[in-house]
Amino acid sequence: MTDEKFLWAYTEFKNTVYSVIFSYVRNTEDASELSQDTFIKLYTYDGGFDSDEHMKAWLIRVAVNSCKNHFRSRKHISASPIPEDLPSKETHETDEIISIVMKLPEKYRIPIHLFYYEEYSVAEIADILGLPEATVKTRLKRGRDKLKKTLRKEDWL
Amino acid sequence: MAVSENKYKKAMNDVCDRNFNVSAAEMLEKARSAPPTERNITMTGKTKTNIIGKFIGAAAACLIISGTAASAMGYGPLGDSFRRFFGKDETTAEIIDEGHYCEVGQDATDDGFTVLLDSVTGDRSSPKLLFEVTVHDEELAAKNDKLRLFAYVLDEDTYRNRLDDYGMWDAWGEKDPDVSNMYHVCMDGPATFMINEADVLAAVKQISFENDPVNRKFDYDVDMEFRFNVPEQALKETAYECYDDITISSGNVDYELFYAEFGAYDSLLKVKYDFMGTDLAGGETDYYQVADKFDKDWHDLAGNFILTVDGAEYEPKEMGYSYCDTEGEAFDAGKCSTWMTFPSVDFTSAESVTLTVNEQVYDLK
Repeated sequence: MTDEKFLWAYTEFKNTVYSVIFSYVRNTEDASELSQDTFIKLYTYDGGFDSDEHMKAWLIRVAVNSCKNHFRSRKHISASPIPEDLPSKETHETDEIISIVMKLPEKYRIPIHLFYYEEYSVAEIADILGLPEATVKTRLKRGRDKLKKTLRKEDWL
Repeated sequence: MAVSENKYKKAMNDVCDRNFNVSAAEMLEKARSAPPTERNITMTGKTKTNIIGKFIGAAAACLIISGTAASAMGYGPLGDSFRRFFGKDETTAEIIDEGHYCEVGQDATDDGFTVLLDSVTGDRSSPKLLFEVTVHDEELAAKNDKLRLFAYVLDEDTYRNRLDDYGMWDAWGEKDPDVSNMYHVCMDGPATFMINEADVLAAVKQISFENDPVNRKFDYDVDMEFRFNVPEQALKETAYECYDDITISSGNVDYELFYAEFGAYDSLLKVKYDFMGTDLAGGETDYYQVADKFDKDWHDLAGNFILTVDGAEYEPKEMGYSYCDTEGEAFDAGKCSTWMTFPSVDFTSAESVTLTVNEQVYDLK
């Protein structure tokens, strides 16, 4: 990959990569480190991409894999691990939304993130996460149901 | 309403902007100085061979052979063949040497892959499934030193009726040093479904690669089911202990030690506690609004624990995050639970096992 293309990709997809990793690890420090690892993999990747969307999907997939490895290496087996440094309400008004979404279990949180942040379709999320579409639909629904208990729809959409 | 304008997206962008501040130039510099990940791979074109099973020969559905018996029969040390592919996992190699090992020897093939479930080993806390994966596309194999296998490991009923409640297990597999398109995978499995001579269903669903410049798929769906039984001898014994009279107070929370598991890989202690009514909860009834405070309290306390076994002292390895059982599925409704691990110890042979916390000593044996 040329330096010019890499710089473009980093600027374009920096938030995509960081946000999906943050959604997994819920820790700003780990998210920063894993995001950099993901972009290093992009720089050293010797394959090509059909399109910018294809590159974006590749980055998300690599980011998701990095997160799973991260948890595996930490033997992070809690049913519902708690974020160590979620932004507090005092720091930012909008953080409440993030804080509430991040308290969802991972299986709901990641599809919700990809749907509402990346605007991916159910089929695209299923492809990225390697899940059947029906599973993604179920998880999106259950995730939304859980959010509804805390937030009104207009509070976050 | 356009999703692109949603508040979640705005808030998440804000999180990104505040916390990920590496500039593009800095990132480029880091990427340039990173060591290369690609390695040259030589294609040898050899055919598939069985990893460990070949030492056993044409065996019955599941053989249990002690290390001594195996040597006497001329099969050689089974653990050594495991070490060849999984050199860092000496604990499992020793378990195999001790004879806790069961050959399954089932394979399945589709257009892209042949997957062999070679064997099951490990202990009753952490069973392992050993797979051998052959990638039919040698060009894909040439681009990848490792692959990742995803599988459900459950019983038949759960697989058919409650699959959505369970996640897949996954593990990376390393390439065979001699066969260019073969990978060896040692995957952790669920003790819940693999002990007590249970009938197990392992359903391999996905094989993933980091590099896929030709097909650009990265993740390949597969559907291969392996049904087998795990004999008791195949998994090394784990000592389990239940306690109902050990309460350890942090000053904020009374932690009841209710369960301990002393396995070959580590020693696990589980505690439970009430959170409502504690000062730490501050009147909050939704545990997950205050869970971080409780996790901090547990980590502060558990970090000082010392496990003493016949005079030898062990420090904690890992401390868990908490789980609160609001519906009473796991234990009493409203009780929360967390855990910690120490290194593996020989609980069964030990004469004395104690836990020391802030100068208080609790007898575990």
